[in-house]
Amino acid sequence: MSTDLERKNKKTVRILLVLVFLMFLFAAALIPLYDILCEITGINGKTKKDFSSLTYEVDLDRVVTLEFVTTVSAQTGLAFKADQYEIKLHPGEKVTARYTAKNRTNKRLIAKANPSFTPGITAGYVKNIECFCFSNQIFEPGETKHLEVQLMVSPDLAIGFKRISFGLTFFDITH
Amino acid sequence: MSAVTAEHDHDEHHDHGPEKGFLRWIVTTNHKDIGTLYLFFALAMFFVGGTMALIIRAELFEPGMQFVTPQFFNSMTTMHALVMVFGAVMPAFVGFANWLIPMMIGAPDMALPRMNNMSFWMLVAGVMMLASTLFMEGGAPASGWTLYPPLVLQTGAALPFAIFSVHLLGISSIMGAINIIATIFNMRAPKMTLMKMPLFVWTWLITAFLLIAIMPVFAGAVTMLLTDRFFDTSFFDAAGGGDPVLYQHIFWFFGHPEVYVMILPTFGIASTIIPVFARKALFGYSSMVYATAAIAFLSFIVWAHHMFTVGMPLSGELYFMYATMLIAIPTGVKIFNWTATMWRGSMTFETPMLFSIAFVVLFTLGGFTGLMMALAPIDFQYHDTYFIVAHFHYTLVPASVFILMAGGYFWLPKWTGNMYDERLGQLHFWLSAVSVNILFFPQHFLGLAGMPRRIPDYAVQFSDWNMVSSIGAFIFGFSQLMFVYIVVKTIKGGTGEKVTDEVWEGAAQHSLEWTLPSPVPYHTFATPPENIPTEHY
Repeated sequence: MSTDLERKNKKTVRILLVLVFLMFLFAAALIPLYDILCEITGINGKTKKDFSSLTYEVDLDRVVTLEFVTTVSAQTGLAFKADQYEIKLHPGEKVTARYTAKNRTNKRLIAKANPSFTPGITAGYVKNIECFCFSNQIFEPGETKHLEVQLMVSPDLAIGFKRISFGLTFFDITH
Repeated sequence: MSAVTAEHDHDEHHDHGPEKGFLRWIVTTNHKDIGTLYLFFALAMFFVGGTMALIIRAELFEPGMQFVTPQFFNSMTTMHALVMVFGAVMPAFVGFANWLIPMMIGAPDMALPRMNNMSFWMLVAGVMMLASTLFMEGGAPASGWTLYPPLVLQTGAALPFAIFSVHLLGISSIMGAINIIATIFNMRAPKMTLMKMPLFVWTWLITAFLLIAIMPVFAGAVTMLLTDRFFDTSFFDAAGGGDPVLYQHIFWFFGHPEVYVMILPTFGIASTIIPVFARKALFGYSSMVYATAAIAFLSFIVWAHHMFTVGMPLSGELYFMYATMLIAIPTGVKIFNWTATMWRGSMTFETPMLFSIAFVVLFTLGGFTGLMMALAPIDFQYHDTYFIVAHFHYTLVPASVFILMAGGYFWLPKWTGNMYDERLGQLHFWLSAVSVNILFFPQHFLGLAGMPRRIPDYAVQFSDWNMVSSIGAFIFGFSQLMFVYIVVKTIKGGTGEKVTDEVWEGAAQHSLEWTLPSPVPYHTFATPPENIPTEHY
């Protein structure tokens, strides 16, 4: 094999390895890209934040039921439940849902809750005005906390949607 | 190697044959030896994966649980798929690539012979590691070849082994792909311009780029599975802010091009065989090249048609539906070209041609069901049913596998210098062609009637067609033993008839390897050929 060919082969290999590396980076970049895409389009139950100044005209003719689902991720030592099973509200009306969370361990816990809406397509229409899930929650050993969420359903929500599940999942980020 | 004098070169030509003894097969860097290794390994894995398929079909012969536990059944569907994809079909095409690409472009060997050896043994290591999971606590992975979370994260001790084996197989494929690209770009004979390359070389060039683009993505996805399971990340865990649907997107970004990795070289071999037995030049050579490139490009932008039912926005469904249907255009060009090549040709029907014609017909059938499933509103009925199973098996078994058989019969006389037994070859073909339809055609009916995939038991109304399908499976499976017998017999001397250099009438006008002596010497094209065949473009 001539040295000229060897040089050419080495160059080809180098270029192709760069390509391999770039594709690996692309796979990693898909994670944030996917989140951004979901947030922009509101698909998949992800929501944009800060609706504090938002007001709607209340549509008294319609009633939507919000159901509350609470979950605690596998290794999080919290007991977490919603104080009400569901709230019936008119689109445009502002409601407050209450939750109770208790630290079941004798350690200090930092936990964060993640919101999610089902069906996912409704996520863009349920406005989370004020939520304890916007910030990290600190639990002293054994502490019980009463938490609140303020919600509003946009009157633009299509007529067919009568029940929406609002899920919150706590997970431990103490480290 | 770098500074060879003319004399030295001369010596090498006469004295340097293969190494003696068993070690030859371990340390070899000869593209023909490595091609042989790949092909035998693929054939062995074809029977391992086939045995798993027969376990599945035996369990499904009747409703109710007969032979295996549901968990093991699901392991079988997963392992059957992984072994067939990564252990049989892909290595078989790499085997053909190793044997043929250097000879077809007039090169003495692959560009990177030592890496070539390494990628083969890494493949063996990867497949062995995958196979070892069958004996682990909790059993082999049982969540389909797609390895979807969260189900796959419930795998027992096997999970990290399965993931590392995917890494090994990925590295092996990437190295093989780099080698093929370097060979094709840098080692062609002087007159062999890109648009004069045989179509098999072209399809492999494009396939190699697909592999380089997708294997790192798949490696990334399974690595995230690994960290989700063992390092408390939440890439695909909704509770931690991740999303299991994201895995499906990443997987199918890899998965859709991956199925084309198995079909593009199939197209290449079909485009090589059909003109020879039609005794005509391939119809529309350049349109074949562009169609292959178009299919490869489209494969990257259609992935979510595998997930129409996950709850996509309407605009997404529409986009992926139309994009997917576009693929039918370049594929239709190919089918048209093969048919036009045969049109008014002086056709003869030796075994390789029979398999190739069956491929054209049955692949088209698999393509049509693909078009049906591309329709987003209708796909909701087909999703996760046996209709899907029927579809992709039609595009893989009577397509890729048939063409691998065709290629085997086609080049075996060239490689060994002996003729295979034509009568047995034809019997093998007819048994395969009939039984493959008994096996997979009823699965269309089952799927349309609503039988779900990946279940060990089913409602009684599905009994009859399942029984028919299982009978077909056993006939097909055992017919393939004939292939082994024919191959071994051919290597040992075949029919005794010595084959000519071009083996098939006029083949030397189509591609360079037929200008070499039969059997092919251990070293070929130490100096690049002066002239190249002109028939195929």
